[in-house]
Amino acid sequence: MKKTNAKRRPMTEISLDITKNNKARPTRKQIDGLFDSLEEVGLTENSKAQKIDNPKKRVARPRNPETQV
Amino acid sequence: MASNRIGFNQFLKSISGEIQLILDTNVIIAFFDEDHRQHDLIKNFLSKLDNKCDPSFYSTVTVKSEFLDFRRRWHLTDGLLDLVDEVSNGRSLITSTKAKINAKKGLLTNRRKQTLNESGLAIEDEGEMEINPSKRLFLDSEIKEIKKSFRAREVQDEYGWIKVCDLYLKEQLTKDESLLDEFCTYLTTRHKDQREKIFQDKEIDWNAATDLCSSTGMGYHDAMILNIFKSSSIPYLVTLDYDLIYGVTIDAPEKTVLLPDNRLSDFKSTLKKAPVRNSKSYCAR
Repeated sequence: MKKTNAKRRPMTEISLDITKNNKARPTRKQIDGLFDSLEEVGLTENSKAQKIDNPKKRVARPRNPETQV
Repeated sequence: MASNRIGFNQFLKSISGEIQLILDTNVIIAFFDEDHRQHDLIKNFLSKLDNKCDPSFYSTVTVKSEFLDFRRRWHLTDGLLDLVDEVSNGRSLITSTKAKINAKKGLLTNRRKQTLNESGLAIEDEGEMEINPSKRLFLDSEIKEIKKSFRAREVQDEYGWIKVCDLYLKEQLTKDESLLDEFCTYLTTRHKDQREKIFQDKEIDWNAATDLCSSTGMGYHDAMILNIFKSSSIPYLVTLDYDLIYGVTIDAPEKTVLLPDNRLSDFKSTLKKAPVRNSKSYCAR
């Protein structure tokens, strides 16, 4: 029988490619492209507006503020 | 009864020439996952095999599917954890989607902490995490819930999640598959060469896997691997899984299982008096 993986590279080389694939991250351009698509379908919001919505940053206000004299 | 379990180092000392080995899912996962505690050990073992002898690695389509499902979750977890904090030109994900991902991130963080001891070191009872390292990733049910948070109101707008998969999963998973395909051959009797040389012109009796499963209570996926191992002429199986090591000892004493040397003594103590079942043909005539 022919050797099934006679043409394969050494495992050390394959391992290097695995590391490369594990560490691959999208480019800024690709991320911006994704957000363009997500924005089209209403899945994004203004990040500044979102910060105001953060409960920790909300400022408590009286429901019926007294009239300022 | 001579032990049919050999540690990696002992095996490397004795081996030369052409050899054939079946790789279990956890071995392939450990080879690909650099955070896996046995990653270095498996990587070194497979690399040293290349230097010492002429190895051919085999596996099954069941193993491949388990591996690719693990990698699907690996890449999606990685991508979603990046995406949730991402800001692009003043835009972030909507609050509800971010909240969903962050809620699941909290659960994931707790699961990851549970795998460490009080000193922050990896727990020694690593069996479960080695066999199921996917606990370090979003669970399938969690990914489904996150996916729902990307749903659009109109069918024609249903591409938010698809774009996420395009960016964080598609290319990466395809690459994983091509790398696995490069060094692994999948066992099948449909391939003429394999049928003749590895299975001696016999068909695999898949019902025998049920017998193996019910014999020792091993997982059915493991029973399928053990069944094909028994049916083939391949002498060695590489695994980290106690269940499979146990199964080979009980149901395939004519075969040899290879495991990390430091695990050998653990299995020795529990398996040295293991009963051996009567030999049964696992190939249909």
